[in-house]
Amino acid sequence: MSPILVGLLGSLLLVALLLLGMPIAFMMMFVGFLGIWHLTSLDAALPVVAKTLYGVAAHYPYTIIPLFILMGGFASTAGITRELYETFDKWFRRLPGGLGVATIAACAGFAAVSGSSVAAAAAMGNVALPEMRRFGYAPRLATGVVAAGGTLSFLIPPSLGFVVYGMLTEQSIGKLLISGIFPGIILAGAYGLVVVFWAKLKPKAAPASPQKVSFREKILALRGIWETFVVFFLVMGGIYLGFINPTEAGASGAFALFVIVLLKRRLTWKAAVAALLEAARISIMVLFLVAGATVFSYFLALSTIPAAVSGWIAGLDVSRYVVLAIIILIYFFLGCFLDAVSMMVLTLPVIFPVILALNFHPIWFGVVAILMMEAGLITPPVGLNVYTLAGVAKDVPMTEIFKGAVPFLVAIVLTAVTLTAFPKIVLYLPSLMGR
Amino acid sequence: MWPVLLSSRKFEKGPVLVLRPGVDRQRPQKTETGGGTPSQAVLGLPRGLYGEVLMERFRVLVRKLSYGACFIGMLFALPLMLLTVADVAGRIFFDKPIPGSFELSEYMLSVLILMGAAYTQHVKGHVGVDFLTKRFSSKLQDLCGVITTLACLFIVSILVWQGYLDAMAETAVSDQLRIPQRPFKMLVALGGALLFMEFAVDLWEKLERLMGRRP
Repeated sequence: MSPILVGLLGSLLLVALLLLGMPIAFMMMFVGFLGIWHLTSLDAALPVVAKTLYGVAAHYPYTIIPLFILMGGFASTAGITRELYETFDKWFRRLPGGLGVATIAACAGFAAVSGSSVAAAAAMGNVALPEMRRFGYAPRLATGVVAAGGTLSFLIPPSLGFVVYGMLTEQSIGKLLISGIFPGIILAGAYGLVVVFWAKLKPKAAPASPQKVSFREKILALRGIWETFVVFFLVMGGIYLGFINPTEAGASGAFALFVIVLLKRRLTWKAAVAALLEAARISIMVLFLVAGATVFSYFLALSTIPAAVSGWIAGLDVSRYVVLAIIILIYFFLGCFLDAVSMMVLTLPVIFPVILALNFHPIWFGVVAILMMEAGLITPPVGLNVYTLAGVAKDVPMTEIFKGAVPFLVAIVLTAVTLTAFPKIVLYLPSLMGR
Repeated sequence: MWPVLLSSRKFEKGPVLVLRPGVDRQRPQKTETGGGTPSQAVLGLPRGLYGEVLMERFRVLVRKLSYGACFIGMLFALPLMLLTVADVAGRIFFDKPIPGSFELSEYMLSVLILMGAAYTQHVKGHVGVDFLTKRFSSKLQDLCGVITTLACLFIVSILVWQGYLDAMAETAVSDQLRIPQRPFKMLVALGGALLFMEFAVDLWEKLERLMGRRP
């Protein structure tokens, strides 16, 4: 059998086991092991899994993962979600769909201190949903806003998505994180516009709040966001200016939030254990996936499939944007069934060489890919944010939340198109960084 | 079948089940209908059920060990954070980084990741997709589960075996603090062994359901 045929059979086995529900990390190790065994020898294949796992579990740059997740855990414990929401509510209340816009802004703020989007959806669901419902917002709009807002955590740094992308493609994690800032702001703005248009078109879905807010109140309300600003500038400013590496930034951010929790006297045993356990659980899930992907990539590299595919696509006589559009559609489709990290580990070993062969900027593609994976968080049948939110808003059927999220999908696609037309938006900030 | 008699109350009320009740495969309220100490239970049982009783004990033991190991591992996240911050502060303000913080961070991460692998499996934290299998009948679901769990057991057993060999052959020490790597590499085998036991319990449960001996 030719190596390519073995690679294809391995990929088929991978898909079959995936559909049977095997945990993806072990599935990739399993198929990777069998493939390496077949293409080299048993002696060469046996040590690969154990060596790779230790290599991944004891690799300094990966310490950033538990630290980023700890940031989110401590930020929730500190009650930052509520404070952000209350501040932005005062600022945006008078806009059409003002509470929805405030929710989006608060989600963006929370995203600036947290790396995990499900945590954001759950935290914001508990704070913003009751408020919107109290003011008579349609459940579809209210839940759609929160589900979509939660996805911002994946794009606005600190973001787990960029860390995993950076690991798998060997790109600078610092540059990736910085490159997410402008697109994140643009996407948050687009989400805000969706809410405003929705409220304009269907005023009944978002009744205006009559209360006026004085300018003094608005200024005073800014007290609620100082922690977010301090932590964000500490973390991202440190990375941008090159004082600290991303891992150190994660540690500093988590520590700053920890101190805020202590100052607010909100530290309880239960909250601390929950935050630590969450950090451990997600880090373990992600790093086992990365280890699985590494083993599987060895096998794919031996099979020469990535080189063959990228050579074939680069030789095609079509515009590279057609290929890009197809890749984006694939991500959109996969996002309906897979979570973002799994999607990355499963696809990047083949897709990333294609992107390089087509001369797309790897960091720019990272942002676009992350954007499409965000869409996966709110597309049926498997949308992680929607599931989370369905647990919080028990009286709203899941289909209603999915429908509510549709207009925001349009915003994601439009943002992706904008970033493709103007790659500078993504690449400007990282191009200013020293290293 | 006899979980009632054997599940330790202290453990049932422990944080494992409190924190993620929706995910744990066995909820406390379903089992809290009987009484008696484990030893009484064993003595009072008909002969053919010893196997199940032992399995139930094994299940409780594995669960305790997984959670305990993950708990120890997760605690390392705090010193990891503090050490990194202290190192940064020392470097920026006093021009004195903490020696060896890089390698200590790596070791701490390895403890965090490898010790918690089994617990993460227990709470179904290692993601897989179920959009297809959940449309199957429960029998077929269990059959798929048996196949995939066997594959997991296979690869994890290789992980444990080779992890042990790799650790035993390791003689390197860290660059600055001269801490030997072997104990940390051994965690691959140790964490893997716990993970193996979790999958074994999983397999047992699925087989029992498949044979109609468990609801």
